[in-house]
Amino acid sequence: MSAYGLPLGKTESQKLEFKSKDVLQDLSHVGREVTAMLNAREGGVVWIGIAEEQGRAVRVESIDDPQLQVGRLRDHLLDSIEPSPREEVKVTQVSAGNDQQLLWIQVTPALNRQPYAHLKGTGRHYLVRVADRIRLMTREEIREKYKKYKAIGAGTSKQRVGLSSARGKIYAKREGAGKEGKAQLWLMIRPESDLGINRLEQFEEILQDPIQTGNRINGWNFANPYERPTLGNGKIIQEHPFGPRLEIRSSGEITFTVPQKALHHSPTGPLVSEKEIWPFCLLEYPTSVFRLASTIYKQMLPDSGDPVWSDFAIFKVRGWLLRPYSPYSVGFEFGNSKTYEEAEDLILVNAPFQFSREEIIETPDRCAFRILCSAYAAFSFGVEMLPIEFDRGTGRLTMR
Amino acid sequence: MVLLGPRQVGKTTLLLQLIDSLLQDGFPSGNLTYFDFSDDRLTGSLSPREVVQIVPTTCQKDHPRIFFFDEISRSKHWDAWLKQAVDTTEHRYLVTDSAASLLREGTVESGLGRWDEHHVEGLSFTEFLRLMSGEDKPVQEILGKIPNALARYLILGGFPEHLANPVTSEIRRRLRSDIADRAILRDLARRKVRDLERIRELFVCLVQDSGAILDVRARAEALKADTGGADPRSVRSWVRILEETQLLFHLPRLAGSPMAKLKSSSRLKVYASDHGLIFAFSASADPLLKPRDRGRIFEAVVFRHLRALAQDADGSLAYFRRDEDHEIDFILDSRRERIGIEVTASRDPDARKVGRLRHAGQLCKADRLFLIHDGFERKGEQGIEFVSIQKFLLTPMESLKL
Repeated sequence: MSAYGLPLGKTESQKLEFKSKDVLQDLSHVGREVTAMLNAREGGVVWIGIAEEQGRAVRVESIDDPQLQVGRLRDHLLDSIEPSPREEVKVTQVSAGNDQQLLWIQVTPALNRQPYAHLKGTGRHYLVRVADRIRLMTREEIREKYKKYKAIGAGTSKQRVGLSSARGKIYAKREGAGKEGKAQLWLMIRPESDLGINRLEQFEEILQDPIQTGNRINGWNFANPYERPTLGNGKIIQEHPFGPRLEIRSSGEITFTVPQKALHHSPTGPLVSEKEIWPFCLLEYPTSVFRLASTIYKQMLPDSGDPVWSDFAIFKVRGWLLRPYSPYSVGFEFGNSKTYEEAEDLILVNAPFQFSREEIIETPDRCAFRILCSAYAAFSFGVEMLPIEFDRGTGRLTMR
Repeated sequence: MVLLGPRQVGKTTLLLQLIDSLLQDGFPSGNLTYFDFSDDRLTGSLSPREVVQIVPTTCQKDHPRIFFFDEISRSKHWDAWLKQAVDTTEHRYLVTDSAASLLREGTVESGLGRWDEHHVEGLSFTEFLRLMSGEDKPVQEILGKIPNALARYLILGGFPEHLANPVTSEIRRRLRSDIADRAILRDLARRKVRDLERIRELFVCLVQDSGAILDVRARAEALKADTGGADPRSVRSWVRILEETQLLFHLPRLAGSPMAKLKSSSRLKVYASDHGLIFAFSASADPLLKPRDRGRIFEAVVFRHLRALAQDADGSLAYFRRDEDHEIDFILDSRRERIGIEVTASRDPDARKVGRLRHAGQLCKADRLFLIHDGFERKGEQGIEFVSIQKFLLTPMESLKL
């Protein structure tokens, strides 16, 4: 078999796994397999689009729109595995001839980052691959891996430096925001390096006109045409005393908050309960801020290869309810709503999220989508339960 | 009492709210009768008299009976019954109908003074906010909860039924179908109005051109080209029919002498009664982003709020026009003073606009001048006060310092 040689006729093993194309309907199955390989010493390869019978690869099932699926899969693996396997997992599109396309995931564990956990719902699942099967790791195995993790050192020196700068600051800011004791949604986007923006007043117009950042004129977003932004102390602030607040700092750091009360909306009357998050508020507010970041960073963020970090939380959310699916769907009316009871605050387990400059600039909606998938997961909702307005494939939010 | 108003402005909701309120106050439920004559379950035509004759066993004799008749004109012999009913003091009647039906029968003239008429308009901005939020909170708090609330109002219009449906394309489709197909084609057809297709076409043109001076000859010519014939007199009468349905409102030109008043009656401006109609019937995919449509929507929504204000202040409304450069959108004449109000969708009105308004204000002898615009609050200049549209819609009276 060459690098991408088709494995037809081969059988599943410690380092080889086949998945039919149906697995793309629920990516958590792939996440489990990849996590299990990451916790094994040897890693391995997962083929998607190969049908197997009794563990033997028997048939190619071509995948539609493979490029889109590569992006989806990559985002899912980065966000559903802890620590995020940015370097360890490579997803590639492979041609099987006759216009047939497959996906190929190469898993190379970093031994100093083990153990890896698969995040599902509010739980961390430590899995390991043994021969052609996966099983839960034992307490001893997990403890052993953590011991090695400490002995070798957490991450590379570059990663540790990252943690002490932008990533570390974002942690601290989230903690600080939580200590304010306000019930609110909090979102921060921060480039690794300080941008040193001189003229913050240049953003006045885009803070008033949502169209300039690709947001809806009548949507749930940061813009406010009738409040003048305030400038000073190296930041520009657009805020409503009872509504959203957006702050852009000269470093390029963007902080957005909206009171929890403003996440509640009841256009359908009694169907929506008093402590219920309106899904469109949850979707559109963060997405609008990523679109703003895209507009600003397009001009300001140098192409240095440095990442952009983002974190998201909803403080004092215990007891609040979220319904799955779009408010226009039957699923919304009859689906099982979930009340958040895990903790006082909703903190995403895999935060902060790391994005490349290109991701933030070219696909801001997709960045928001990744964060929101995690937020929905915190309510024990799978990605398929996000409102349909967020296209699973393209990760783009389209409100009608 | 007769509640008149265009379709979908919430007449039925108002009836049901009144019933709720009476029940909460302890009024005996057996004395309250609600009947919707447009209910599809009615297989034959029923007269209001037949409904009144049914007496519930729980009816209490020491209280009057109150009847709430919805869509009265769908019932049999309703007009004859209504005329007699108002002469009896035994019961109270609250009836609704789309004005299209009632007025075309010509019964309002004969009934004037015999019953109280109440005209229901689309929601004001404040009403819209309260209904949208579902909470009785201060307006500032609601504005925080609903960002871009004004844009939502401009898109949805004052039709309460559509508040729960934020799918803009769907609202536009439903409004077009309900207004054009039901209010015009069906309601007017029931009243035996002819030329319905051309009335509908005229209506769409007038709404798309809301706020323009009505040129009946030009409109007749335009209809001729499309549908093969209309004379100016017909156009004038069709506009009147549409006004009776309260889908359109006219605004006269400011005139001093009786002769000028006579002349001004042929130079009316015609507005869509609700700004949501302009959004719904616009040819543009996104009317709020098109300066021309945006301007029309702004003018219509200000006119809607000024109508209420003029009624409260016992004043009258007109527009002023000397020539193209000397024009004021609205003149509010009260007993005390004359106020000129110009509306622009611009965020930052330029000096030229301000200068022209000042000059036009001098020509029409306005005591005070206001420029309603789409920007922030700012200081007045050249004797003109600047008011942001959001502030005006929230507090029209305070904004104009009345």
